[in-house]
Amino acid sequence: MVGLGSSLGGDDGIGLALVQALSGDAIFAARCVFLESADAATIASSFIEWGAPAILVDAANMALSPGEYRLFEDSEASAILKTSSVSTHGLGLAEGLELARTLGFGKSVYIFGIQPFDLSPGQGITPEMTARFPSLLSALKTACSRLIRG
Amino acid sequence: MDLKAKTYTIDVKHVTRVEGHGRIIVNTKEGVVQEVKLAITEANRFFENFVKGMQPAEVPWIVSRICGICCVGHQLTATKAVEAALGIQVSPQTILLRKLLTESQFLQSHVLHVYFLAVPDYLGVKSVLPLAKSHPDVVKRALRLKKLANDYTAMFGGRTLHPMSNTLKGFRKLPHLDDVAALRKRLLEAIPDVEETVRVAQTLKIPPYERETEYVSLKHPDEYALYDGEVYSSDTRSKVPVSRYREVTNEFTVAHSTTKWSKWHRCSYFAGALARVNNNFDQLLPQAQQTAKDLGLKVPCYNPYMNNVAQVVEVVHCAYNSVRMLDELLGSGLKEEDISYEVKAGRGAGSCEVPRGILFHEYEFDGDGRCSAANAIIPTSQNVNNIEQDMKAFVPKMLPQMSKEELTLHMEMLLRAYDPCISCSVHMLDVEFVD
Repeated sequence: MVGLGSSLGGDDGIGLALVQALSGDAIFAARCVFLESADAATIASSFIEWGAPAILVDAANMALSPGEYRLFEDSEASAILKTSSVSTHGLGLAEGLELARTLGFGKSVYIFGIQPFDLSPGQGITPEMTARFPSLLSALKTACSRLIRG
Repeated sequence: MDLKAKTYTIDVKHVTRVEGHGRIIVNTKEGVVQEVKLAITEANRFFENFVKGMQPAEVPWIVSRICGICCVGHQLTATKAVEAALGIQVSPQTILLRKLLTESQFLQSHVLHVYFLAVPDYLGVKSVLPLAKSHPDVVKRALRLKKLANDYTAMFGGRTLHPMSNTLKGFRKLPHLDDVAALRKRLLEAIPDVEETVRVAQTLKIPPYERETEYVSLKHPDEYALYDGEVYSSDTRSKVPVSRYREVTNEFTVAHSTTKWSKWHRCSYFAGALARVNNNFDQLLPQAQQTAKDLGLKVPCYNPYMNNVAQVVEVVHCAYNSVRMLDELLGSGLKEEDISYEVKAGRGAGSCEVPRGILFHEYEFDGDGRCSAANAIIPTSQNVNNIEQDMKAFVPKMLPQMSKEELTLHMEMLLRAYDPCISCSVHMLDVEFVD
């Protein structure tokens, strides 16, 4: 379970916060990692190093209502996640994953995406997202348990 | 070739830099160059105002956010400037730890730039993504080296980006010696990857264009200057203290650039890896000197495209020098140090070499220890003038023998060779031709 995002970007920190909470559960604790503000090179090298299936938890613009979530495989998401920039600052999750895939990472990657309310700079998730947090955490735990069981 | 047919405008818009945007404009008429401009339209960052009213220890952590790649350099330069303002002396242990942090950042940044931004140009691909398909071993090696460098920074800085361990007068958290020993082992194991990086650099066909200019860098009497030294000019072959940095940068404005330009003893100067290698070649470790020879870098070198090669030379230097410094650290051990300091009024300047060149910071504090004035002059700002002078010199030479597309590529490669902060986005350039 990989928490992604930035804790200084409002709801962009929701993935980090959820995986942080998940890590408090003994069932998941040893499986939780964080890639805060990670660039594509770090994401790609991390996947290659782990060599294991992953569930990424991150804020994602999926044209849903704020606070809603969706679980999907990365292959379904490429069109949504792709950005046009190809640079060291601009390379993000999509390119990092593609880089890892190109270099031979063949394991399953699921994304637990949460539609943010607000990504303005600032510490902590928004009050609206905080109110949704318990239900999101519950859904994430259910999804993780199901995927781990296979 | 029919030069009269060479009437066109190259307009490379949105050359994005960390602080804003820039643009390359080349106008030719019947084979004669009419105009060459590197127009920078960056917005003010306001960091020098952010820190006003801040306490001394807060300043270095805040200004490290100026850049996500040179964050270590900004933090250490600011730390040195604040310490100079407050008259704080630091221990040999702290200096050693900061030098290790510095070299970790050089490894991070140079590996990123050489492999992810420069090499794709030379191997004829648009970016690292197609490079991963055509040359997977090259990209895997780059990722291994980048990961190692990231972990190296995290060990001494507390985290990979915007370190929090370093502070005024010392370190808030010291690494464990077992971890230091493990890092030393990993660095030694990475030497084959470093050597392979040199072999990749040997295959790059560097454009053969030269223009002699002034090369400015730190210079230290005892070592290859990265963390400390005085400001050295290749023109005068002499140094000035960092406190007189404004006599070096002589910032001025031009109509087509919102960033200030710099000049010292002539119309422009070069800061960065090539300037450092040119000015301090004899202080490179033998392995790095040999690398320079193997890669055809003979000092003084006046080819700005060779800056990429100079970066590879510094990768070799930093890899071996890091092992040497880690040995020193393991030999001396680490001890907790008193990092308390006395607040007082004062003004001080600091300078470090960062991957893109010499960096200056200056701060003033009032009697309550509140920051009352700040100044930061980054290498990219110092280099912009020199890049445009290169473009003006090279375009007339390139024009008769290159197509418009080749000329555009060479201008972009030139810009990337300097590894400016705009390099973070130059690969996303949209090239627009206006005939």
